[in-house]
Amino acid sequence: MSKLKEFLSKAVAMADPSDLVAGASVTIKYFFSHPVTVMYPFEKREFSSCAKGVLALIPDKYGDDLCIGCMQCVKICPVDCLTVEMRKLSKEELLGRKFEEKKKKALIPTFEVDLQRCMLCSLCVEICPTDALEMSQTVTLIMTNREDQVLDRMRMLELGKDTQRYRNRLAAGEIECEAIQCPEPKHKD
Amino acid sequence: METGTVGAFLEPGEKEGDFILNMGPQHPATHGVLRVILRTEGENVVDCDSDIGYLHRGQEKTAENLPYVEFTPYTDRLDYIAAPAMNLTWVEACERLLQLEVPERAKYIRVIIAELTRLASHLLWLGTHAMDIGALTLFLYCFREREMVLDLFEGFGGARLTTHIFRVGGLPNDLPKGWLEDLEAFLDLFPSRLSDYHKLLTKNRIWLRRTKGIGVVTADECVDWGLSGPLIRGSGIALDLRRKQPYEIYDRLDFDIPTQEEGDVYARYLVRMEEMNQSLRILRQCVDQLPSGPFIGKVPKRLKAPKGELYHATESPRGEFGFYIYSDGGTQPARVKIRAPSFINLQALPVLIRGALLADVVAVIGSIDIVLGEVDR
Ligand code: SF4
Ligand code: SF4
Repeated sequence: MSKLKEFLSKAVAMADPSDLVAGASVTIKYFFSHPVTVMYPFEKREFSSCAKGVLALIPDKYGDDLCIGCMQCVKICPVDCLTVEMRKLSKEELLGRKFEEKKKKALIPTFEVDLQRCMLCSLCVEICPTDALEMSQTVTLIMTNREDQVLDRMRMLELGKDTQRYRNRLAAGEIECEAIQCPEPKHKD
Repeated sequence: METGTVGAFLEPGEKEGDFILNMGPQHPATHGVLRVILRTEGENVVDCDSDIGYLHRGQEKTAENLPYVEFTPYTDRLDYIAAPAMNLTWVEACERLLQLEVPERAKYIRVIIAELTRLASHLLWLGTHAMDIGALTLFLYCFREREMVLDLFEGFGGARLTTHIFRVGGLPNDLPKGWLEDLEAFLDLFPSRLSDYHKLLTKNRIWLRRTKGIGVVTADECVDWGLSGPLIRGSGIALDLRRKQPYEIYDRLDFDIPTQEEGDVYARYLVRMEEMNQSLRILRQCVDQLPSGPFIGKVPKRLKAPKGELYHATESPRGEFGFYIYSDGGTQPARVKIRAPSFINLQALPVLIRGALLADVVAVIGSIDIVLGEVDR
Protein backbone atom coordinates (compact mmCIF):
# COMPACT_ATOMS: atom_id res chain seq x y z
CA MET A 1 0.00 0.00 0.00
CA SER A 2 2.74 2.41 0.99
CA LYS A 3 4.51 1.61 -2.23
CA LEU A 4 1.44 2.48 -4.15
CA LYS A 5 1.16 5.77 -2.26
CA GLU A 6 4.76 6.56 -3.00
CA PHE A 7 4.25 5.77 -6.62
CA LEU A 8 1.15 7.94 -6.74
CA SER A 9 2.84 10.91 -5.08
CA LYS A 10 5.72 10.58 -7.49
CA ALA A 11 3.36 10.40 -10.40
CA VAL A 12 1.59 13.54 -9.22
CA ALA A 13 4.93 15.32 -8.87
CA MET A 14 5.87 14.21 -12.37
CA ALA A 15 2.60 15.39 -13.77
CA ASP A 16 2.90 18.81 -12.17
CA PRO A 17 4.44 20.97 -14.88
CA SER A 18 5.01 24.10 -12.77
CA ASP A 19 8.82 23.77 -12.73
CA LEU A 20 9.04 23.37 -16.47
CA VAL A 21 6.60 26.18 -17.10
CA ALA A 22 8.62 28.50 -14.84
CA GLY A 23 11.79 27.68 -16.75
CA ALA A 24 10.13 28.11 -20.11
CA SER A 25 8.67 31.44 -19.07
CA VAL A 26 12.17 32.76 -18.47
CA THR A 27 13.44 31.69 -21.86
CA ILE A 28 10.34 33.00 -23.59
CA LYS A 29 10.71 36.32 -21.79
CA TYR A 30 14.21 36.76 -23.20
CA PHE A 31 13.10 35.57 -26.59
CA PHE A 32 11.46 38.94 -27.10
CA SER A 33 14.26 41.11 -25.71
CA HIS A 34 17.10 42.72 -27.60
CA PRO A 35 20.32 40.79 -28.10
CA VAL A 36 23.16 41.83 -25.81
CA THR A 37 26.02 40.68 -27.98
CA VAL A 38 28.11 42.98 -30.13
CA MET A 39 28.81 41.85 -33.68
CA TYR A 40 32.50 42.28 -33.14
CA PRO A 41 34.41 42.91 -36.34
CA PHE A 42 31.63 45.11 -37.75
CA GLU A 43 30.66 46.77 -34.53
CA LYS A 44 33.03 47.73 -31.77
CA ARG A 45 32.19 48.49 -28.22
CA GLU A 46 33.47 51.56 -26.43
CA PHE A 47 36.19 50.99 -23.92
CA SER A 48 36.04 52.66 -20.58
CA SER A 49 38.37 55.61 -20.25
CA CYS A 50 40.81 53.68 -18.07
CA ALA A 51 40.95 50.55 -20.20
CA LYS A 52 44.50 49.31 -20.49
CA GLY A 53 45.80 48.49 -23.92
CA VAL A 54 49.29 48.41 -25.38
CA LEU A 55 51.91 50.53 -23.63
CA ALA A 56 52.50 53.92 -25.25
CA LEU A 57 54.57 57.05 -24.84
CA ILE A 58 52.72 60.33 -24.50
CA PRO A 59 53.91 62.84 -27.09
CA ASP A 60 54.47 66.36 -25.86
CA LYS A 61 53.60 69.42 -27.87
CA TYR A 62 56.80 69.18 -29.89
CA GLY A 63 56.16 65.56 -30.75
CA ASP A 64 58.89 64.34 -28.42
CA ASP A 65 58.44 62.06 -25.43
CA LEU A 66 58.51 63.21 -21.83
CA CYS A 67 60.97 60.58 -20.63
CA ILE A 68 63.99 61.72 -18.64
CA GLY A 69 65.69 58.36 -18.69
CA CYS A 70 65.53 57.69 -14.97
CA MET A 71 65.15 53.94 -15.60
CA GLN A 72 62.63 53.44 -12.84
CA CYS A 73 60.20 51.78 -15.21
CA VAL A 74 62.90 49.39 -16.38
CA LYS A 75 63.63 48.45 -12.81
CA ILE A 76 60.06 47.89 -11.70
CA CYS A 77 58.90 45.93 -14.72
CA PRO A 78 58.38 42.38 -13.41
CA VAL A 79 59.12 40.77 -16.76
CA ASP A 80 61.97 43.03 -17.90
CA CYS A 81 60.40 43.90 -21.20
CA LEU A 82 61.45 47.54 -21.44
CA THR A 83 64.68 48.75 -23.04
CA VAL A 84 65.55 52.37 -22.49
CA GLU A 85 68.66 54.14 -23.62
CA MET A 86 69.35 57.65 -22.53
CA ARG A 87 71.81 60.27 -23.80
CA LYS A 88 72.49 63.16 -21.49
CA LEU A 89 72.60 66.50 -23.23
CA SER A 90 75.49 68.80 -22.52
CA LYS A 91 74.96 72.43 -21.53
CA GLU A 92 75.59 73.66 -25.08
CA GLU A 93 73.19 71.17 -26.56
CA LEU A 94 70.55 72.08 -24.05
CA LEU A 95 70.68 75.72 -25.10
CA GLY A 96 68.13 76.48 -27.72
CA ARG A 97 66.25 73.24 -27.27
CA LYS A 98 62.66 73.42 -26.30
CA PHE A 99 61.35 70.91 -23.79
CA GLU A 100 57.93 70.86 -22.38
CA GLU A 101 59.05 68.99 -19.32
CA LYS A 102 61.26 71.09 -17.03
CA LYS A 103 63.21 68.12 -15.73
CA LYS A 104 64.07 66.86 -19.17
CA LYS A 105 67.78 67.13 -19.89
CA ALA A 106 68.23 64.04 -21.97
CA LEU A 107 67.39 62.46 -25.29
CA ILE A 108 65.98 58.99 -25.49
CA PRO A 109 67.39 57.32 -28.63
CA THR A 110 65.88 53.95 -27.74
CA PHE A 111 62.67 53.12 -25.99
CA GLU A 112 61.37 49.65 -26.66
CA VAL A 113 58.69 47.46 -25.21
CA ASP A 114 58.55 43.77 -25.94
CA LEU A 115 54.88 42.99 -26.39
CA GLN A 116 55.51 39.28 -26.18
CA ARG A 117 56.41 39.70 -22.56
CA CYS A 118 54.51 42.76 -21.42
CA MET A 119 51.53 41.77 -19.32
CA LEU A 120 49.94 45.22 -19.24
CA CYS A 121 50.22 45.50 -15.48
CA SER A 122 50.82 49.28 -15.67
CA LEU A 123 53.35 49.28 -12.84
CA CYS A 124 55.72 51.23 -15.09
CA VAL A 125 53.05 53.82 -15.85
CA GLU A 126 52.43 54.41 -12.18
CA ILE A 127 56.06 54.79 -11.19
CA CYS A 128 57.13 57.17 -13.96
CA PRO A 129 57.97 60.54 -12.38
CA THR A 130 57.17 62.55 -15.52
CA ASP A 131 54.07 60.62 -16.63
CA ALA A 132 55.79 59.80 -19.87
CA LEU A 133 54.17 56.41 -20.19
CA GLU A 134 50.52 55.58 -20.52
CA MET A 135 48.42 52.58 -21.42
CA SER A 136 46.84 53.27 -24.79
CA GLN A 137 43.39 52.08 -25.78
CA THR A 138 44.68 50.08 -28.70
CA VAL A 139 44.12 46.42 -28.01
CA THR A 140 44.57 44.86 -31.42
CA LEU A 141 47.95 45.08 -33.07
CA ILE A 142 48.53 42.70 -35.90
CA MET A 143 52.05 41.60 -36.74
CA THR A 144 53.31 39.05 -39.14
CA ASN A 145 56.57 38.24 -37.42
CA ARG A 146 58.07 38.08 -34.00
CA GLU A 147 60.51 40.95 -34.39
CA ASP A 148 57.69 43.41 -34.98
CA GLN A 149 56.37 42.65 -31.54
CA VAL A 150 59.08 44.83 -30.11
CA LEU A 151 57.63 48.28 -30.39
CA ASP A 152 60.16 51.05 -30.86
CA ARG A 153 59.92 54.62 -29.66
CA MET A 154 58.23 55.87 -32.81
CA ARG A 155 55.45 53.36 -32.71
CA MET A 156 54.95 53.93 -29.02
CA LEU A 157 54.61 57.65 -29.64
CA GLU A 158 52.10 56.95 -32.40
CA LEU A 159 50.16 54.77 -30.00
CA GLY A 160 50.29 57.63 -27.53
CA LYS A 161 47.74 59.40 -29.66
CA ASP A 162 45.26 56.73 -28.75
CA THR A 163 45.26 57.55 -25.06
CA GLN A 164 42.68 59.39 -23.07
CA ARG A 165 45.25 61.82 -21.75
CA TYR A 166 46.43 62.84 -25.23
CA ARG A 167 42.85 63.32 -26.37
CA ASN A 168 42.11 65.48 -23.36
CA ARG A 169 45.11 67.64 -24.11
CA LEU A 170 44.22 67.89 -27.75
CA ALA A 171 40.73 68.99 -26.81
CA ALA A 172 42.16 71.56 -24.41
CA GLY A 173 44.30 72.95 -27.21
CA GLU A 174 47.58 72.16 -25.48
CA ILE A 175 49.01 70.32 -28.44
CA GLU A 176 49.38 71.87 -31.86
CA CYS A 177 51.93 69.67 -33.54
CA GLU A 178 50.43 66.38 -34.59
CA ALA A 179 53.48 64.95 -36.30
CA ILE A 180 55.61 62.57 -34.32
CA GLN A 181 59.35 63.18 -34.44
CA CYS A 182 61.88 60.72 -35.78
CA PRO A 183 63.76 58.35 -33.42
CA GLU A 184 66.68 60.71 -32.87
CA PRO A 185 64.51 63.61 -31.93
CA LYS A 186 65.18 66.93 -33.58
CA HIS A 187 63.49 69.78 -31.89
CA LYS A 188 62.04 72.84 -33.42
CA ASP A 189 64.74 75.32 -32.58
CA MET B 1 53.35 1.38 -14.30
CA GLU B 2 55.92 2.40 -11.74
CA THR B 3 54.77 2.81 -8.21
CA GLY B 4 54.40 6.40 -7.26
CA THR B 5 53.13 7.54 -10.60
CA VAL B 6 49.65 8.86 -10.78
CA GLY B 7 47.08 6.17 -11.10
CA ALA B 8 49.49 3.38 -10.20
CA PHE B 9 46.99 1.98 -7.75
CA LEU B 10 44.50 1.86 -10.54
CA GLU B 11 46.37 -0.85 -12.45
CA PRO B 12 43.86 -2.65 -14.61
CA GLY B 13 43.00 -6.28 -14.40
CA GLU B 14 42.44 -6.67 -10.69
CA LYS B 15 38.90 -7.71 -11.22
CA GLU B 16 36.94 -9.09 -14.10
CA GLY B 17 35.03 -6.32 -15.88
CA ASP B 18 37.08 -3.47 -14.54
CA PHE B 19 37.84 -0.73 -16.96
CA ILE B 20 40.24 2.17 -16.66
CA LEU B 21 38.92 5.33 -18.21
CA ASN B 22 40.84 8.51 -18.77
CA MET B 23 38.95 11.75 -18.57
CA GLY B 24 40.88 14.78 -19.66
CA PRO B 25 43.27 16.55 -19.70
CA GLN B 26 41.42 17.99 -22.64
CA HIS B 27 37.85 17.52 -21.67
CA PRO B 28 35.41 20.42 -21.66
CA ALA B 29 33.94 19.43 -18.31
CA THR B 30 37.19 19.35 -16.38
CA HIS B 31 37.43 23.14 -16.52
CA GLY B 32 40.98 23.32 -17.69
CA VAL B 33 43.64 20.69 -17.89
CA LEU B 34 42.67 18.19 -15.25
CA ARG B 35 43.11 14.52 -15.95
CA VAL B 36 40.90 12.19 -13.99
CA ILE B 37 41.66 8.49 -14.10
CA LEU B 38 38.58 6.47 -13.35
CA ARG B 39 38.25 2.80 -12.56
CA THR B 40 34.82 1.81 -13.65
CA GLU B 41 32.66 -1.23 -13.32
CA GLY B 42 30.08 -0.81 -15.99
CA GLU B 43 28.58 2.60 -15.39
CA ASN B 44 29.76 2.79 -11.78
CA VAL B 45 32.94 4.51 -10.74
CA VAL B 46 34.78 2.31 -8.28
CA ASP B 47 37.77 4.51 -7.69
CA CYS B 48 39.45 7.50 -9.15
CA ASP B 49 42.60 9.53 -9.08
CA SER B 50 43.38 12.97 -10.39
CA ASP B 51 46.48 13.93 -12.30
CA ILE B 52 47.37 17.59 -12.02
CA GLY B 53 50.30 19.77 -12.90
CA TYR B 54 49.68 20.46 -16.57
CA LEU B 55 49.51 24.17 -15.84
CA HIS B 56 52.41 24.37 -13.41
CA ARG B 57 54.37 27.59 -13.83
CA GLY B 58 56.32 27.72 -10.60
CA GLN B 59 54.52 30.71 -9.17
CA GLU B 60 55.86 30.12 -5.67
CA LYS B 61 59.41 30.12 -6.93
CA THR B 62 58.77 33.19 -9.06
CA ALA B 63 57.60 35.03 -5.98
CA GLU B 64 60.97 34.44 -4.34
CA ASN B 65 62.72 36.27 -7.15
CA LEU B 66 60.58 39.36 -7.30
CA PRO B 67 60.11 42.28 -4.94
CA TYR B 68 56.83 42.34 -3.06
CA VAL B 69 55.09 44.87 -5.31
CA GLU B 70 56.12 43.18 -8.51
CA PHE B 71 54.58 39.85 -7.67
CA THR B 72 51.07 41.29 -7.55
CA PRO B 73 50.39 40.96 -11.29
CA TYR B 74 51.50 37.34 -11.12
CA THR B 75 48.78 36.55 -8.59
CA ASP B 76 46.23 37.35 -11.31
CA ARG B 77 47.36 34.20 -13.02
CA LEU B 78 46.59 31.94 -10.08
CA ASP B 79 42.83 31.91 -10.04
CA TYR B 80 42.15 33.75 -13.25
CA ILE B 81 38.41 33.53 -12.82
CA ALA B 82 38.62 35.55 -9.62
CA ALA B 83 41.83 37.50 -10.06
CA PRO B 84 40.99 40.40 -7.71
CA ALA B 85 40.54 37.96 -4.84
CA MET B 86 44.09 36.72 -5.41
CA ASN B 87 45.41 40.28 -5.64
CA LEU B 88 43.64 41.10 -2.41
CA THR B 89 45.21 38.27 -0.47
CA TRP B 90 48.70 39.09 -1.68
CA VAL B 91 48.54 42.82 -1.04
CA GLU B 92 47.01 42.24 2.39
CA ALA B 93 49.71 39.76 3.27
CA CYS B 94 52.36 42.24 2.15
CA GLU B 95 50.75 45.06 4.08
CA ARG B 96 50.69 42.98 7.24
CA LEU B 97 54.29 41.99 6.74
CA LEU B 98 55.47 45.49 5.96
CA GLN B 99 53.15 47.11 8.50
CA LEU B 100 51.52 49.50 6.09
CA GLU B 101 48.34 51.40 6.79
CA VAL B 102 45.50 51.29 4.30
CA PRO B 103 43.03 54.20 4.15
CA GLU B 104 39.39 53.54 4.98
CA ARG B 105 38.12 54.36 1.51
CA ALA B 106 40.50 51.90 -0.06
CA LYS B 107 39.26 49.20 2.30
CA TYR B 108 35.66 49.77 1.29
CA ILE B 109 36.47 49.78 -2.39
CA ARG B 110 38.48 46.61 -1.95
CA VAL B 111 35.51 44.89 -0.39
CA ILE B 112 33.27 46.10 -3.22
CA ILE B 113 35.66 44.65 -5.78
CA ALA B 114 36.12 41.45 -3.80
CA GLU B 115 32.39 40.86 -3.62
CA LEU B 116 31.95 41.65 -7.30
CA THR B 117 34.64 39.06 -7.87
CA ARG B 118 32.63 36.54 -5.91
CA LEU B 119 29.65 37.30 -8.12
CA ALA B 120 31.70 37.01 -11.30
CA SER B 121 33.24 33.75 -10.16
CA HIS B 122 29.99 32.19 -9.02
CA LEU B 123 28.31 33.26 -12.24
CA LEU B 124 30.93 31.50 -14.27
CA TRP B 125 30.66 28.48 -12.03
CA LEU B 126 26.89 28.41 -12.35
CA GLY B 127 26.98 28.75 -16.09
CA THR B 128 29.56 26.06 -16.72
CA HIS B 129 28.24 23.74 -14.05
CA ALA B 130 24.75 23.91 -15.50
CA MET B 131 26.11 23.45 -18.99
CA ASP B 132 28.06 20.36 -17.94
CA ILE B 133 24.87 18.86 -16.62
CA GLY B 134 22.97 19.83 -19.72
CA ALA B 135 21.21 23.13 -19.04
CA LEU B 136 22.75 25.16 -21.80
CA THR B 137 20.47 28.19 -21.57
CA LEU B 138 21.82 29.27 -18.24
CA PHE B 139 25.37 29.40 -19.53
CA LEU B 140 24.49 32.26 -21.85
CA TYR B 141 22.51 34.14 -19.23
CA CYS B 142 25.28 33.86 -16.66
CA PHE B 143 27.86 35.13 -19.07
CA ARG B 144 25.69 38.10 -19.87
CA GLU B 145 25.70 39.12 -16.22
CA ARG B 146 29.35 38.27 -15.76
CA GLU B 147 30.14 40.65 -18.60
CA MET B 148 28.51 43.42 -16.61
CA VAL B 149 30.76 42.71 -13.66
CA LEU B 150 33.80 42.58 -15.91
CA ASP B 151 32.78 45.91 -17.39
CA LEU B 152 32.80 47.31 -13.88
CA PHE B 153 36.32 45.94 -13.39
CA GLU B 154 37.35 47.49 -16.67
CA GLY B 155 35.90 50.81 -15.64
CA PHE B 156 37.87 50.83 -12.45
CA GLY B 157 41.12 48.99 -13.03
CA GLY B 158 41.35 48.94 -16.81
CA ALA B 159 41.49 45.19 -17.29
CA ARG B 160 38.88 42.50 -17.34
CA LEU B 161 40.47 39.17 -16.61
CA THR B 162 43.98 39.56 -15.26
CA THR B 163 43.01 42.65 -13.40
CA HIS B 164 45.94 43.65 -11.18
CA ILE B 165 43.41 45.84 -9.47
CA PHE B 166 44.92 46.46 -6.02
CA ARG B 167 48.29 47.84 -5.01
CA VAL B 168 50.30 47.30 -1.88
CA GLY B 169 49.10 50.11 0.35
CA GLY B 170 45.80 50.87 -1.35
CA LEU B 171 44.44 51.18 -4.85
CA PRO B 172 45.92 52.33 -8.18
CA ASN B 173 43.33 55.06 -8.64
CA ASP B 174 40.14 56.37 -7.16
CA LEU B 175 36.75 55.34 -8.47
CA PRO B 176 36.14 57.07 -11.79
CA LYS B 177 33.16 59.34 -12.18
CA GLY B 178 29.95 57.50 -12.72
CA TRP B 179 31.31 54.15 -11.59
CA LEU B 180 29.17 53.97 -8.48
CA GLU B 181 26.08 54.73 -10.53
CA ASP B 182 26.96 51.88 -12.86
CA LEU B 183 27.40 49.63 -9.87
CA GLU B 184 24.06 50.65 -8.44
CA ALA B 185 22.36 50.03 -11.75
CA PHE B 186 23.86 46.56 -11.71
CA LEU B 187 22.77 46.00 -8.12
CA ASP B 188 19.22 46.96 -9.05
CA LEU B 189 19.17 44.67 -12.02
CA PHE B 190 20.88 41.61 -10.64
CA PRO B 191 18.27 40.32 -8.13
CA SER B 192 15.74 39.82 -10.92
CA ARG B 193 18.35 37.92 -12.91
CA LEU B 194 19.15 35.80 -9.89
CA SER B 195 15.50 34.86 -9.56
CA ASP B 196 15.54 33.89 -13.23
CA TYR B 197 18.33 31.44 -12.52
CA HIS B 198 16.33 30.05 -9.63
CA LYS B 199 13.32 29.63 -11.86
CA LEU B 200 15.38 27.79 -14.42
CA LEU B 201 17.12 25.41 -12.07
CA THR B 202 16.18 25.23 -8.43
CA LYS B 203 12.93 23.31 -8.87
CA ASN B 204 13.67 21.81 -12.25
CA ARG B 205 13.11 18.07 -12.03
CA ILE B 206 16.03 17.15 -14.25
CA TRP B 207 18.37 19.38 -12.27
CA LEU B 208 17.15 17.87 -9.00
CA ARG B 209 17.69 14.34 -10.24
CA ARG B 210 21.15 15.12 -11.51
CA THR B 211 22.31 16.85 -8.33
CA LYS B 212 20.46 15.58 -5.28
CA GLY B 213 22.29 12.93 -3.31
CA ILE B 214 25.28 13.03 -5.70
CA GLY B 215 28.82 13.57 -4.49
CA VAL B 216 28.00 13.54 -0.82
CA VAL B 217 30.71 14.57 1.61
CA THR B 218 30.02 14.62 5.33
CA ALA B 219 31.07 17.35 7.70
CA ASP B 220 33.67 15.08 9.33
CA GLU B 221 35.21 14.22 5.99
CA CYS B 222 35.33 17.90 5.13
CA VAL B 223 37.31 18.62 8.27
CA ASP B 224 39.61 15.64 7.69
CA TRP B 225 40.42 16.73 4.17
CA GLY B 226 40.78 20.39 5.09
CA LEU B 227 38.14 21.50 2.65
CA SER B 228 36.92 25.05 2.66
CA GLY B 229 34.57 27.38 0.90
CA PRO B 230 31.16 26.37 -0.38
CA LEU B 231 32.17 22.73 -0.10
CA ILE B 232 32.37 22.79 3.69
CA ARG B 233 29.42 25.13 4.03
CA GLY B 234 27.37 22.76 1.93
CA SER B 235 28.07 20.10 4.54
CA GLY B 236 26.77 22.13 7.45
CA ILE B 237 29.87 23.86 8.82
CA ALA B 238 29.59 27.63 8.76
CA LEU B 239 33.26 28.29 8.11
CA ASP B 240 33.82 31.60 6.41
CA LEU B 241 36.98 33.60 6.96
CA ARG B 242 35.08 36.81 6.42
CA ARG B 243 33.42 36.03 9.72
CA LYS B 244 36.02 33.88 11.47
CA GLN B 245 38.99 36.22 10.98
CA PRO B 246 37.58 39.40 9.52
CA TYR B 247 39.88 41.30 7.20
CA GLU B 248 39.35 44.72 5.65
CA ILE B 249 35.96 45.89 6.94
CA TYR B 250 33.99 42.66 7.01
CA ASP B 251 33.52 42.92 10.77
CA ARG B 252 31.37 46.03 10.26
CA LEU B 253 29.13 44.51 7.65
CA ASP B 254 25.94 42.61 8.19
CA PHE B 255 25.67 39.42 6.20
CA ASP B 256 24.74 35.78 6.70
CA ILE B 257 26.77 32.72 5.99
CA PRO B 258 24.57 30.30 4.11
CA THR B 259 24.91 26.63 4.97
CA GLN B 260 23.18 23.43 3.94
CA GLU B 261 23.21 20.11 5.72
CA GLU B 262 23.11 17.55 2.93
CA GLY B 263 26.63 17.92 1.56
CA ASP B 264 25.64 16.94 -1.98
CA VAL B 265 25.96 18.76 -5.27
CA TYR B 266 22.55 20.35 -4.83
CA ALA B 267 23.46 21.68 -1.38
CA ARG B 268 26.59 23.30 -2.75
CA TYR B 269 24.53 24.79 -5.54
CA LEU B 270 22.13 26.33 -3.01
CA VAL B 271 25.00 27.64 -0.90
CA ARG B 272 26.60 29.41 -3.82
CA MET B 273 23.30 30.84 -5.01
CA GLU B 274 22.63 32.25 -1.57
CA GLU B 275 26.19 33.59 -1.38
CA MET B 276 25.47 35.69 -4.43
CA ASN B 277 22.49 37.13 -2.60
CA GLN B 278 24.64 37.90 0.42
CA SER B 279 27.28 39.51 -1.77
CA LEU B 280 24.60 41.84 -3.05
CA ARG B 281 23.75 42.75 0.53
CA ILE B 282 27.40 43.48 1.29
CA LEU B 283 27.74 45.56 -1.86
CA ARG B 284 24.69 47.65 -0.97
CA GLN B 285 26.08 48.34 2.52
CA CYS B 286 29.50 49.26 1.15
CA VAL B 287 28.01 51.68 -1.36
CA ASP B 288 25.97 53.31 1.39
CA GLN B 289 28.83 53.59 3.85
CA LEU B 290 31.62 54.46 1.41
CA PRO B 291 33.69 57.20 3.08
CA SER B 292 35.69 59.80 1.25
CA GLY B 293 39.43 60.23 1.67
CA PRO B 294 42.65 59.11 0.08
CA PHE B 295 42.78 55.85 -1.83
CA ILE B 296 46.37 54.91 -1.12
CA GLY B 297 48.38 55.16 2.06
CA LYS B 298 52.03 56.05 2.54
CA VAL B 299 54.13 53.48 0.77
CA PRO B 300 57.90 53.81 0.86
CA LYS B 301 59.65 53.55 -2.51
CA ARG B 302 61.83 50.67 -1.43
CA LEU B 303 59.85 48.10 0.46
CA LYS B 304 61.95 46.16 2.90
CA ALA B 305 60.22 43.63 5.08
CA PRO B 306 61.36 42.87 8.60
CA LYS B 307 62.55 39.38 9.37
CA GLY B 308 59.74 37.02 10.13
CA GLU B 309 57.00 34.89 8.74
CA LEU B 310 53.33 35.29 8.22
CA TYR B 311 50.32 33.43 6.98
CA HIS B 312 47.47 35.48 5.67
CA ALA B 313 44.29 34.00 4.29
CA THR B 314 41.11 35.39 2.88
CA GLU B 315 37.85 33.88 1.74
CA SER B 316 38.19 33.63 -2.00
CA PRO B 317 35.13 32.48 -3.97
CA ARG B 318 36.51 28.98 -3.81
CA GLY B 319 37.47 28.84 -0.16
CA GLU B 320 40.36 29.70 2.08
CA PHE B 321 43.08 31.20 -0.05
CA GLY B 322 46.27 32.04 1.76
CA PHE B 323 49.84 33.12 1.35
CA TYR B 324 52.56 32.00 3.68
CA ILE B 325 55.50 34.37 3.39
CA TYR B 326 58.85 33.89 5.03
CA SER B 327 61.01 36.98 4.98
CA ASP B 328 64.71 37.11 5.75
CA GLY B 329 64.72 40.89 5.89
CA GLY B 330 65.28 41.63 2.22
CA THR B 331 63.26 43.33 -0.47
CA GLN B 332 62.05 39.98 -1.73
CA PRO B 333 60.35 37.18 0.14
CA ALA B 334 62.63 34.26 0.94
CA ARG B 335 59.86 31.67 0.68
CA VAL B 336 56.30 31.80 -0.46
CA LYS B 337 53.75 29.08 -0.13
CA ILE B 338 50.33 29.37 -1.66
CA ARG B 339 47.42 27.65 0.01
CA ALA B 340 45.10 27.15 -2.89
CA PRO B 341 41.55 26.13 -2.01
CA SER B 342 40.86 24.40 -5.33
CA PHE B 343 43.97 22.28 -4.92
CA ILE B 344 42.90 21.05 -1.52
CA ASN B 345 39.25 20.66 -2.45
CA LEU B 346 40.25 18.66 -5.51
CA GLN B 347 42.10 16.13 -3.38
CA ALA B 348 38.78 15.02 -1.95
CA LEU B 349 37.56 14.08 -5.41
CA PRO B 350 37.83 10.29 -4.85
CA VAL B 351 35.73 10.63 -1.70
CA LEU B 352 33.05 12.43 -3.61
CA ILE B 353 33.08 10.29 -6.71
CA ARG B 354 33.37 6.75 -5.36
CA GLY B 355 30.23 4.83 -6.10
CA ALA B 356 28.78 7.46 -8.38
CA LEU B 357 27.74 6.95 -11.95
CA LEU B 358 30.07 7.96 -14.74
CA ALA B 359 27.78 10.81 -15.78
CA ASP B 360 27.85 12.19 -12.25
CA VAL B 361 31.60 12.70 -12.34
CA VAL B 362 31.05 15.82 -14.39
CA ALA B 363 28.48 17.12 -11.93
CA VAL B 364 30.80 16.52 -8.99
CA ILE B 365 33.82 18.18 -10.59
CA GLY B 366 31.64 21.14 -11.46
CA SER B 367 30.36 21.42 -7.94
CA ILE B 368 33.88 21.56 -6.46
CA ASP B 369 34.47 24.56 -8.72
CA ILE B 370 38.15 24.19 -9.47
CA VAL B 371 40.37 26.53 -11.42
CA LEU B 372 43.43 24.80 -12.69
CA GLY B 373 45.59 27.88 -12.64
CA GLU B 374 45.33 27.80 -8.90
CA VAL B 375 45.54 24.03 -8.52
CA ASP B 376 48.78 23.77 -10.48
CA ARG B 377 50.20 27.20 -9.64
S1 SF4 C 1 60.17 55.95 -15.54
FE1 SF4 C 1 59.40 57.47 -17.01
S2 SF4 C 1 61.02 59.01 -17.10
FE2 SF4 C 1 61.92 57.21 -16.10
S3 SF4 C 1 62.86 56.06 -17.81
FE3 SF4 C 1 60.81 55.24 -17.54
S4 SF4 C 1 59.54 56.42 -18.97
FE4 SF4 C 1 61.46 57.54 -18.72
S1 SF4 D 1 52.99 47.23 -18.26
FE1 SF4 D 1 54.01 45.93 -16.74
S2 SF4 D 1 54.93 44.31 -17.95
FE2 SF4 D 1 54.41 45.91 -19.39
S3 SF4 D 1 56.27 47.15 -19.55
FE3 SF4 D 1 55.02 48.07 -17.94
S4 SF4 D 1 55.76 47.15 -16.04
FE4 SF4 D 1 56.49 45.87 -17.73
